[in-house]
Amino acid sequence: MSDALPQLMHGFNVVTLVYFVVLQVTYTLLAIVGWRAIEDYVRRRPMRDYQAVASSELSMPVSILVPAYNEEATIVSSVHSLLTSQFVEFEVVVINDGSSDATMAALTDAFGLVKVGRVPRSNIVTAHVRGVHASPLEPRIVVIDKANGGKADALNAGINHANYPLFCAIDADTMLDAGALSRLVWEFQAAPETVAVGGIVRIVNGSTFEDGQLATVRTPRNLLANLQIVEYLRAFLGGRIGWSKSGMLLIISGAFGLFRRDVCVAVGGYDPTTVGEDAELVVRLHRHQREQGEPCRITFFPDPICWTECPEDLRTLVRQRDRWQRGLIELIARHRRMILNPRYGRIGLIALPYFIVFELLGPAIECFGYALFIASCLLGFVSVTFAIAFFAVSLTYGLVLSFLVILMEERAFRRYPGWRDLIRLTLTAVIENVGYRQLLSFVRLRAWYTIARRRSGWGEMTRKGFGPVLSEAPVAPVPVTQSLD
Amino acid sequence: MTTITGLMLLVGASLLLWLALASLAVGRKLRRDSRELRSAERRARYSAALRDPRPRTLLAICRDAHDAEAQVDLAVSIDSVYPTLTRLRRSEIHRAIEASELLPELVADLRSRDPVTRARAALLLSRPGIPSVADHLVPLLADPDADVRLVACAGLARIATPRAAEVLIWGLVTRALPPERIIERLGAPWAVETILHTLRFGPAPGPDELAGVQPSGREVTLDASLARALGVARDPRGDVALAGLLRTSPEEEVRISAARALGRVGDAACMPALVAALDPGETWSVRAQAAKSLGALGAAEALEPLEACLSDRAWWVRANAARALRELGEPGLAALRRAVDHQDRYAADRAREQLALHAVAVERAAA
Repeated sequence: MSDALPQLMHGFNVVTLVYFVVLQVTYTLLAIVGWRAIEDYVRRRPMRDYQAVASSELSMPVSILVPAYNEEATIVSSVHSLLTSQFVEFEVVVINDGSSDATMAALTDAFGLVKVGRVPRSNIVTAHVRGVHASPLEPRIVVIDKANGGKADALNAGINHANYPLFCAIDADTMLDAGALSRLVWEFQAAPETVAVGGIVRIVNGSTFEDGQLATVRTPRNLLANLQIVEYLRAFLGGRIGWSKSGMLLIISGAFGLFRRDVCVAVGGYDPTTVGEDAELVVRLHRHQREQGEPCRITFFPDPICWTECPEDLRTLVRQRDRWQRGLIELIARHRRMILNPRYGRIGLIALPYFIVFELLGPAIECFGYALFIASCLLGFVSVTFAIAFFAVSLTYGLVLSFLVILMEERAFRRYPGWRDLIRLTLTAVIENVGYRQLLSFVRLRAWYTIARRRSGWGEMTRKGFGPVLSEAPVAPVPVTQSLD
Repeated sequence: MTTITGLMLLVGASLLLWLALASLAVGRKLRRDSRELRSAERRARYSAALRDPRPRTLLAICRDAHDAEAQVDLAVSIDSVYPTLTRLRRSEIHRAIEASELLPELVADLRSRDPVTRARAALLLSRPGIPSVADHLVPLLADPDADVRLVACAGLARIATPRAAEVLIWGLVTRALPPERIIERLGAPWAVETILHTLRFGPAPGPDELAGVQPSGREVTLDASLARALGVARDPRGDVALAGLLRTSPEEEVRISAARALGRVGDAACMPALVAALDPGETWSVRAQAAKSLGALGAAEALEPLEACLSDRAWWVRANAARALRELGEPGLAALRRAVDHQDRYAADRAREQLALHAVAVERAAA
């Protein structure tokens, strides 16, 4: 018995070590694929005539779906901001999801809405639609007033009433770059087998605004927001591009993605019974297309940018990540038949198993590994030198990857042009690897407990809105509409 | 001692790596800053040379544009300067480029194994619109890389000769690109005569290079694509042909495209064909499109047929007819007011809806 405990701990330490090595190798491979893709994009960018896509009357028109629940403070400015998109033909479909505040009145007052008859183009089941409203002042606006049914239900109502073959699902608290739509549409036009394209979501905290438009991009003073900037960069540039290039992209952020309407209707639209409806839809699209024997290109494009606010307090961040992890757990549970099923190709054989091992079970393995590792060191089962060496290697690896994505950002997009921002991101990359990632692992582990307690819902996020200077704008608590990233 | 040394070494290595990466990031930023400055200076120099009447300045920039960055800068400079140049000056630039070593170098680049090099060469070759370049671009329409095909398509439209139009039409026939990508380039006044000729006599013999092209995008009949191109061109020379297609084509897609195009061309001569397309014997999608086009043209003589369409059996025809009546101004609004008491509830609903939208617009305008 006295020998069993050290052996058990040693065995688990070895498992943790192997897990760590495999995870880091995967991250490295994804980052290398991502780097190559970014280099290729930078070379091709001057050849692509995005201006022609933005101005051609034959470009595929887009319905921008904006689900809104109690957004009276920001909805009008959000719609005005969307209307400035430089794209030839689009409509903004706001879905008032049974708001209890004056969201509908604010829209009616601003755009002179009139109730109209509009035949839905599909019949995805949703909560009761009270009416469809159009604006004589701005023909590109459509407002659907419906009973509350949640974000996914609101998006489904939007899909039913969308006029155009592509729809862009965005959150009401996000802002699009003026050229974002044309870049995403370009992907559909260059490759007709494209079913969905995700764009990069960036954090807007710290930036300044003029007339509801982004004026200067700056990193914020808040440490938590800076940590999330580096984290988002790593997730999108270091991970998602790699998955996309490998044909295994499983997540398109609910904050910003463009979809083919007919295929989404064929799969029944968003699933209103999960909190991770965005990723769930993407997996269902993969599944449906493969089952039907249809081509399925679901890709990520790093240049079209959507700006969103991130939480600046720990409590909101914890709630957000808890929700994302619950969404992932539900996603895997619902599509368990695809796992290791050759019928679904690399999605079933590689992507889903990766998500199970490293995203679903990963937090448990990591947290348990940390605890056992500390215990092993204290009890003398592992040498202190080994422990420190392991820690140093882990830190170095994390740093390398974080720096790699900062370099990618600097190479290709340069959205943070100032030296101060570069220095701040560089220092944040160090801090991010010590403490922040461990904290997130714990939060993600806790999501299992939340699921077991059957807690659901969106939680709340303290949002500041796109005022003149975001960092000094008044704070108003409203329900969160961000989703799984 | 060994433990402490090992520890120090690892921490030192981590620190060194961190510093190396930080230096790399700073170096990248500095290099990019300097590259952007160099590029801005080069674009200014190229733009000045394109305006400079002395032939040697043109030859100098042709000699200079050998590396990738300089070629992109030259293409951008041509884009910005060309609209301000006279036809004579453009001819001088064509001759200078044709006489320089740049042209054969770029033509050779079109056969490069690297798709980005092919695309860049096509981009720069087509920017000045040199007619003799069109034939060099033909094989690129069948290129395996989508970026190269799109650049070639845009380049042919830039060259804008009957030969370029013929090649683009062959791109439609062979589906070298999705039809919309070719139509948006072909839909311009310079291509109208070739389009009309093709509608009458069929496409000219196709180039051999496009024989083995991999079809892309959905299959659309050539007549439908050409009708759409005429609509995009907004050239009245297309009126008669479009009206003919709307009246006689057996294919619904062609008739829809023709009806839509006629709404954009905006000539009174096409009204009878559009009004005839409202006939209940026509398919609902053609009727809906014809109603929309009549509204867009503001055709007062369409008042009665549009009013009749308010009680059409298809929802989209009713909706488009009501909107078209509103767009006709006071006579159309009077028709809508009459329709409020229509015995057909659906007709009355659409009329009320359009009148309400009109009322809010008037009220806001007054405010």
